Amino acid sequence: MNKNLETLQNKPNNWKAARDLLREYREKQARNSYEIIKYGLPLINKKSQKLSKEELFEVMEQVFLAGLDVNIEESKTLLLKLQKQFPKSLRVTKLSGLLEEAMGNWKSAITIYKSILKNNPSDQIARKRLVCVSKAQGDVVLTIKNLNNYLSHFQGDTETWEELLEIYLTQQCYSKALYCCEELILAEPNNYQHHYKIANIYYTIGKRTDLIKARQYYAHSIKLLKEQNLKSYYGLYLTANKLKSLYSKNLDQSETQINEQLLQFAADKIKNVYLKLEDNDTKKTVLDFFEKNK
Amino acid sequence: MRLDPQIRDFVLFPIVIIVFLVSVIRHYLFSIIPSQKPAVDKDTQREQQLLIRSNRICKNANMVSKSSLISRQPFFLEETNGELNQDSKQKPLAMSMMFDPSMMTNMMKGSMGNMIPQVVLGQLISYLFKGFLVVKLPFFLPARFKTMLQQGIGLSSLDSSFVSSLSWYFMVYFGLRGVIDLLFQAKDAIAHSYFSPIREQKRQTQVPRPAPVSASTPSLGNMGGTDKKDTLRNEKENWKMIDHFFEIQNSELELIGKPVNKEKVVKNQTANKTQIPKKNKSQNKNMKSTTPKNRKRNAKKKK
Repeated sequence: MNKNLETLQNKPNNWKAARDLLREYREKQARNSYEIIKYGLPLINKKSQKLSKEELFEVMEQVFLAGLDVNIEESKTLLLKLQKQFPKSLRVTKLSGLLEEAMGNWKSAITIYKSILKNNPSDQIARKRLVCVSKAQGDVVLTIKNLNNYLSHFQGDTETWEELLEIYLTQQCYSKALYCCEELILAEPNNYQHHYKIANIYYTIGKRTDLIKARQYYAHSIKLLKEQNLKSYYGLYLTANKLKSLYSKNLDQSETQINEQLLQFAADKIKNVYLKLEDNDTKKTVLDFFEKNK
Repeated sequence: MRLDPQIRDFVLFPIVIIVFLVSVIRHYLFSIIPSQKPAVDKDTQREQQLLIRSNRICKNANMVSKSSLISRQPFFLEETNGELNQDSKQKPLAMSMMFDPSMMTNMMKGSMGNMIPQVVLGQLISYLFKGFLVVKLPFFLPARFKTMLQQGIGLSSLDSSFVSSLSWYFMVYFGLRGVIDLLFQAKDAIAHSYFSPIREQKRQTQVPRPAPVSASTPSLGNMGGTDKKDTLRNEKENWKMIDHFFEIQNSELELIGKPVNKEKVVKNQTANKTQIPKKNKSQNKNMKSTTPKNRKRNAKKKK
């Protein structure tokens, strides 16, 4: 457990521990909103003279953000203080946008962000927030439009490609999702998750060539992470099985052999994992499943 | 020969104290004067991101299938609309300075802030403490060090291990910089999370805008407009260099311990340079060269 947190639980008035805890959270960008509010508010209200001015404002911002999750009234008062201190600050303007979002005033949030973008067209955060607003409203079409707009400016932003991927998946636009997923792989070729995801998409599309690609990507995901990657083994098994049952006529001899071996390989791996389990019911179900599908 | 202890009290220490105080004052002056970050231009930003993406596609092209790679080509390479065929919208540094005087003042502030106190202090010291020998180093030094250690004193017969007041000032001035940094760093680290004002100053004077990202051309693009155009062109070269081979297809063979498709790798290396089909005529020549006959011929040539 965190050392600072421990001291705070014994002595809740220890301002030094509170300061250090908040510093640590800021550094890690941890979103422990409840604790930040609990220890940050007294720090601001009672011990503000102990902090340097710069740090006080950072703490205020941090507590403000936490307040959006936990206690919105506190956030409002904090924002007023910050606005009084920095009337023209861009950073505070963004915070006010966040507050509007948290209260569900989508329209005013959008006007705030758009006015920011008018003056600073290269502002990344404001653009991102616009996407978040449309997503929170549940407007899929607008979200996709905003994401594409964002990506046309920030093509290198991997997280956003991933976001777009997820949305396309919910809309079952698999070919578009495929494109996004390829972007992820091109950006981070050593992340097994991306390979697993793209294999899933190929499997879902499900033509013969797609299934072969799915099998290859599952295999690559396994190559990158051999243990603790049961889902990829399972995907490999299912894909090989599907290829065998649906397209066995179209495969030539060596391909059939490879497919058969992969099927066996994946099944063995999965069985091995489950054989180590102590839960007998699960073990039996899984083993039975493989018996049946032989 | 010994130095008078009064010199120590009235020259050596005062110089150290004066320099220290001036450094502290300078530090606080800088933190008072607001230093604006130059706003990043929208087009510049977009171009950088374009280069990042294009670069990683070229680097990891073997991770996606050929059709996926080809589907990305028009966006970057199309004759009229391809992104890499556009003229760079970034203004060269000298131009942008002309339009944005704040960049100039920022640079001036950085260098002037260092220069002026140094010169003024140097004048002051040489005026107040002219001709003093302040320190005797406890070891022997060759005569060449005289110019460095005995500035302001032109005695050729003097032992070179003596240090004059002006030289002492320079040593203290540059030596104390690290101490000052240390003193204020802890505080600034909190205030600015990542850079202390001193460092930020340095950063601003050195790099008025973020360096270009393209890994293929790390040295280019720092200055001037022609280089910027070159980054885009070089990026196009990268695309031509792609030698696509779908690496993923080997993974499943590796898993079951089959011999990996090495044949294809070799084939790719010998014959298939520049091989992503394009839709113009010059392509046909390249296509011909991948026929089995030519491939053998090429392989022989290589040998």
